[in-house]
Amino acid sequence: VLTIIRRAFRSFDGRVAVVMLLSLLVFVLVAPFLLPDPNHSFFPPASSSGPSSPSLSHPLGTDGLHRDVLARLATGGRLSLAIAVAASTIALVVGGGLGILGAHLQVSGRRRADFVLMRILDVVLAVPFLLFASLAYVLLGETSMPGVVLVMSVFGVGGIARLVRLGAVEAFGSDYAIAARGLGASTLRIAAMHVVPNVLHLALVVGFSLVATMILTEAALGYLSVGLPPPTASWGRMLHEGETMISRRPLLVLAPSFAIFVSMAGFSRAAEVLNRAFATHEDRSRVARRPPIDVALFALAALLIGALPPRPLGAPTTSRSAASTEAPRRDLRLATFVAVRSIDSVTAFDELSVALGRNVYGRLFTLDEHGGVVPEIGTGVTWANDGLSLVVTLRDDVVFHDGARLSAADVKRSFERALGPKSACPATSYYGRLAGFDAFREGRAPSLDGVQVVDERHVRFVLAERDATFLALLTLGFVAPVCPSVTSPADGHDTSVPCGAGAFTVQSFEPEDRVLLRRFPGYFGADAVRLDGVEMTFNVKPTVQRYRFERGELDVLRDLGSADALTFRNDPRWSAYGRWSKSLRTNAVFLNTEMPPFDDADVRRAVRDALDMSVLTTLRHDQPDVGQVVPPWVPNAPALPRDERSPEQRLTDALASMARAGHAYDPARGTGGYPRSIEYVTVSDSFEQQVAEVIAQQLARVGLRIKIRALPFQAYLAEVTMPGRATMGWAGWGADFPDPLSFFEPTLTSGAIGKVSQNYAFFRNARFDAVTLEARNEPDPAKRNALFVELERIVRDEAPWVPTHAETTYAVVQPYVLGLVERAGSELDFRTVDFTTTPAAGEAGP
Amino acid sequence: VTRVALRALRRIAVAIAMLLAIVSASWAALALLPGDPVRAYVGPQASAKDVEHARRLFGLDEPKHVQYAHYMRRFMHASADPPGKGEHASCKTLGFGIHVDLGYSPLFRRPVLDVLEKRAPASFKIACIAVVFQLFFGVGLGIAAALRRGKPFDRIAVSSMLLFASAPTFVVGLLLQDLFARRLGVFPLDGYGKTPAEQWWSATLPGIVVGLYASALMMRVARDEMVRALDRGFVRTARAKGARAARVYVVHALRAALLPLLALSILDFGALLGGAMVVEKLFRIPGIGDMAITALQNRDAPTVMGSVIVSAAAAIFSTLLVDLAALWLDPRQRGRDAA
Repeated sequence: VLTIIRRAFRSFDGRVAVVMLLSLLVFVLVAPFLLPDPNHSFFPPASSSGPSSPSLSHPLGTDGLHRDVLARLATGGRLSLAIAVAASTIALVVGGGLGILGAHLQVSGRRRADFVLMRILDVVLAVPFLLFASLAYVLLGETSMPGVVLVMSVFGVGGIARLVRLGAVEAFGSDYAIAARGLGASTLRIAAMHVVPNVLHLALVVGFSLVATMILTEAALGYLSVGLPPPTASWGRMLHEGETMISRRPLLVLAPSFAIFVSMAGFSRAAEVLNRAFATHEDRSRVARRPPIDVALFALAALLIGALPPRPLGAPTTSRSAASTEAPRRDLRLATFVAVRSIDSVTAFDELSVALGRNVYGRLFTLDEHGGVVPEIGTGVTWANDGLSLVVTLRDDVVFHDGARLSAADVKRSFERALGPKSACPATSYYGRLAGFDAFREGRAPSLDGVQVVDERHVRFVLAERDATFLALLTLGFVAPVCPSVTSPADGHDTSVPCGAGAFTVQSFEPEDRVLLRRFPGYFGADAVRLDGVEMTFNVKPTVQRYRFERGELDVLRDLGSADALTFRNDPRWSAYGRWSKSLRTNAVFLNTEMPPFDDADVRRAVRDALDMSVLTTLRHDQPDVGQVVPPWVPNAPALPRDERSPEQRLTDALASMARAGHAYDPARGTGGYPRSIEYVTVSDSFEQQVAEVIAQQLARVGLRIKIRALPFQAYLAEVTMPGRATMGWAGWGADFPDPLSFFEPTLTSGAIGKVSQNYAFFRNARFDAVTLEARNEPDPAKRNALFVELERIVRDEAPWVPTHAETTYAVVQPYVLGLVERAGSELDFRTVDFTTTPAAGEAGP
Repeated sequence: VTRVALRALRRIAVAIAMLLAIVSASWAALALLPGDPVRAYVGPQASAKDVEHARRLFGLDEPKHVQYAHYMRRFMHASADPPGKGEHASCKTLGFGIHVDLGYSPLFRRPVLDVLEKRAPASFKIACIAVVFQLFFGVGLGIAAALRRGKPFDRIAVSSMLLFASAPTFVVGLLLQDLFARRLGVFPLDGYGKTPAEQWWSATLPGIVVGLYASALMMRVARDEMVRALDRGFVRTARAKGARAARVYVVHALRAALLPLLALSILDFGALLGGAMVVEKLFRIPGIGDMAITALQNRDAPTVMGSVIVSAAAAIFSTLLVDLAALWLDPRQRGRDAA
C-alpha cells in the first residue's frame, strides 16, 4: 500500500496536491508567529468609515473590528484544518468500525441486526446536516472545540459506514477469510488480518475527501454563525462577517473564500490521486495530467471582482415620477430588514410591528415627536378623586374600519380583550393598577371594574393606586380600540386582517414579506392625510435597500449600514435629506450582583472604570455612548454629569478597585487579577457581539479575563433571566413609552426579580426601589426629574449596569418626501407624510 | 412478482417507521433546547407574570411527556369534522377523514402547516431548477468532455467543474450574486417576487448555485460512463453499421449512463425539497430552509418539527423511490437480498 501511495504522490497531479497542502500547512503553522495578534483591534484615531484597506502593516487590511485580516486568516486556518482533520479521523475510525461490524453481522447471518444498524445510520443521514448541527450546538449549550469536532464527526460516520460495509462484506466472503475461519481464527482476528487491510485503501481515499467536506462544513457552520464562539477566527465566520461589506471591501470575503477553496481543492485532489492509484491499470492510463486550472480560475475571478471599483453614490432624483414609472398612486414605499410577522395590536411586541400598528389602530392618546401626550380618539381628560379616577372624553366622529361607530363600550371591550384571561398580551402588568385587574385577568371576575362606561362618549378609569404614567399607558397599542367585528381572543393565533380605527386600513398583509396600507376615508382626520397608501417590504437586507433606493424603487432608506450612512451624510448632494431618529433603547453591560466576582461592588466599579465605550463610534457612528441609562433625548431624561476623568486615570482607578477587591493585577507582567475566566453572555451575530469583543479586550487590561458566550437570542434570554446563571453580559432594554421610569422600573428594581427575572443584574437596592416607587406616584415633572437623577447616580455608584451605548438611526429620504417625522421610539407616523414635485430642503440635522 | 411486491411493501413500512423515529427523536431534542418556548409568544420584554400567564394559556406548563403525547396524538388523527375550524383550526386533511396537525407556530403566528404550505413552493422551485440545471449542464458537459477526451476541452471542463465542487455554495453564491445581480443586473438581487413568473426568475440564480455544486458530480459520472460506453463493442458496431453519430451517442452510449444519473437526481431533489438553508438565506428566498433556521434561532419548536418532518420525509421517500425503481428494473435485485 505504501508503495502505491508513494507512487501516487510522485505523479504530476500528486505533486500539485502535495504542493497545495504543504503551502497551506506552512501558512497556518508559521504565519501566526510573524503576524499581529489576530484578536487585537487597531482602532483608528477618529470615527471612520469602517475597515481599512490593505497597507504595509496590514497586508490584507483590517476587518469590521479593525483586526488584521491576514493574521485572522492564518489562525482561523489552523483551527479550521485541525477541526476538519480531527473530525474526519474520528468519523473514519467510528464509521469504519460500524461498517465492519455491519458486514460481520451480515455475513454471519444476523441480518436483522445489520438491517437495524443501517437504518439507524439512515435516520442520521436523513436529517439535514446543518439543521442537525445547529440543533446539536444549541443542545450542547455552548460551542467548544471538542463539541464542534464531535458533532461534525457524527455527520461523517453514516456515509463511511455504508462504504466500508460494502467493501468489508466482500472481504469477509473472500477465500482467505473463509480459509482463516476454517483454521479456527476468531472474528476479531479475521477482521484485523483480512478485512481491515482490504478496506484500508478505501478508507484513505474517503478520508481525504472527507477532510475537504469537513472544511466546507465547518465554514458553513461559521457562516451561519453556529460555529466556535467569537472572537475566535474561523474562515466561515470571517466570510460571514465580511459579507455585509462585500461591495466596499470585497477582500474581506475573497480572502477567506480563497483559503477555503484552496484547502478543499488540495484535499479532494489528493483523494482523487489516491483513488486513481488504487484503481486498475486500465483506468489509470485514461486520465490525463490535470494542471491546477481550477485554482488559477478562482484566483482570476477573485482578482476581477476585487479589482472592480465600488459603484459611486448617484445624485438624488428630485421628482417621484422621474424616479419611477410604476407608481401612479401616492404610495409611500419603504423597506425594513425586520421580518414583521404580526401587526395585531395586542400581541405585537417588536418595535416595527408596534409602529405599523399605530397607523392602523387609532389610540386614545398618542405621542408627539417629543414624547408629549396629545389627543387622538380621546379629546380630554378629567382627573378626580386625588388621582385615582380619570374620565376620558371621546370624539364623536370615530368610525372603525368595518364601518361601526366607536363608543365608550368599544373602549371597555378592547381593554377587556387585551387584559382578559385568554390574552397573550406581553404587557398586561402595566395596567395592574386598574381596579379589579387581578380578579379579571385570572378569570375570577366577568368584567374589568377599572374601566367603566359613563355614557356613549365618556370612559372612566379607576385606579387602585395612583400612577403618574397612566396617561402614557393609554398611548400604547396594546389597548387600542379594535373593531366590534373582531371576536377572536387575543391569543396570538388570530390570522385575520387587523381592524381598528386608525388612519390606514390593511389592504393586504403577507407576514415576513410585505404589508399594503390604504388610506381610510372614514378616519376622522382623513382630510389631512396626504398619502394614498403605504407599501412596506420586510426582510430586506440593508445593502439591497440602498440599491433599491438609489434606483428610485424606495422613497425612504431606513436601515443604512454604518459606512453607507456616512457615505450619504458626507455627500453634499444628499446631506440635506438625512433624518435622524432616536430610539428608546438603551444598552449596558449587566454585572450579576449575586455571583462572584461581581457580588463585590469594587469589581463592578473596576469594570465601570475600565470600559471606554467611546471607541464604539469607530465601529458604528450611530450608537453613541451617552454615559447613563436613559438616553438624553427621552422626555424628562435626567442629566448626570459626565465622568471627567481621563482614560488613563480611569484605568488607574480600575486597577485600584481590583486591588481593593483582592484581585490586584500587574498590567506590565500580566499577572494577578481575578483567577478564573468570566463568561460574558451576548446574542450571536449582532452588534452586541462586536461590543462584547471590544469589552473583552478592554477588561483584559485590568485582570478580568472574559470568555464570550454568543447565543441565539432565545437561548440568551433564557440564560440571563434565570438566577445564578449569567455572571455578566449584554443588557438591552427598549422602553415601551417615553418616560425614564420605563427604563428603570422593569430592569433594576427588586420587583423585577421573579421566576423569570427582567433584572439581569439581580440588583436589590432598597433606596433604588423606594425612589422608583416615588417617581411612579409623583405627578410633578420637575420633582420626578430629580428622582431620576438620583436613580442614575445609584446605577453609576453601585454599577449593576455599566451603560455602553444608546441607539440612533440615520435614514435618508428621497428629496420629494416631506413630513416623515420619526417619533421618540421611532414610531413611524404616515399621517404627516406628503410628496412634492419640488425638492424639499433639509428638515433636521443631527 | 409477488416477492418483489412483498419486498417493496416492507421497504415502505420501514420508511414510515423511520419517519416516526425521526419525529420522536427531534421532538425530544427540541424539548431539551435551552430557552423558554413561551418567549416566542410574548417577546423578550414581557414581565414574569405575563410570561407565566401565557405558559398556562398554551399548555406549556404541562410535563414534557404529556406534551409529547399530545403532539403525537394530534400529528395524525381521524376526524369527521372539516379542518380549519374550532378544535381542528390548525389541521389539514389528507382525505378519508385523516387529519394532520403540527400545531401552531408561535413565531409565525399561524398553523405550522400553513407556514409549510406557503414556504414549500419556493424550495420546490429551487429544487426543480437545480435538478434540471445539473442534468442538462452537468450531463451535457460530461458528454462533451467524453467525446473530446484527453483534449484541452476535457481538461479545462473537468478542472473548472472541480472548482464548483470545491468552492462552498455560499462562496459561489455570494460571488455569482455580486456579479450577475448587483453588477450586471441580470437577475434580481434577492427576494422572491409576487407573480409566479417573477418567483421562478428569482429562484433561478439560487437554483443554479445549488445545481452547480451537484453538476460537478453529474459531469464526472456522465463523462466516465460515456467513456466506458464508447469503448464498448456495441457503440463501435453501431458506428460501423453507419448509424449517425448523434444517434449513436444518445441511444446507445448515454442510455447506460442514464439510470445512475436519474437516481442521483431524484436523491438530490429529495434532499433539496427540505430546503437549501444557505442559499435561501443568502438570496432571501422564503423557503423551508430559511424557515428552519429562523425557527431554530427563535426556539419555535413546532415549526422546526415541521421542517424536520418535511425534509426527512422527502429524503426518505426519494431514497425509497430509487430503491423501488431499482428493485423493479434490475433483474439481478429480484433474486438477491440487497438490504
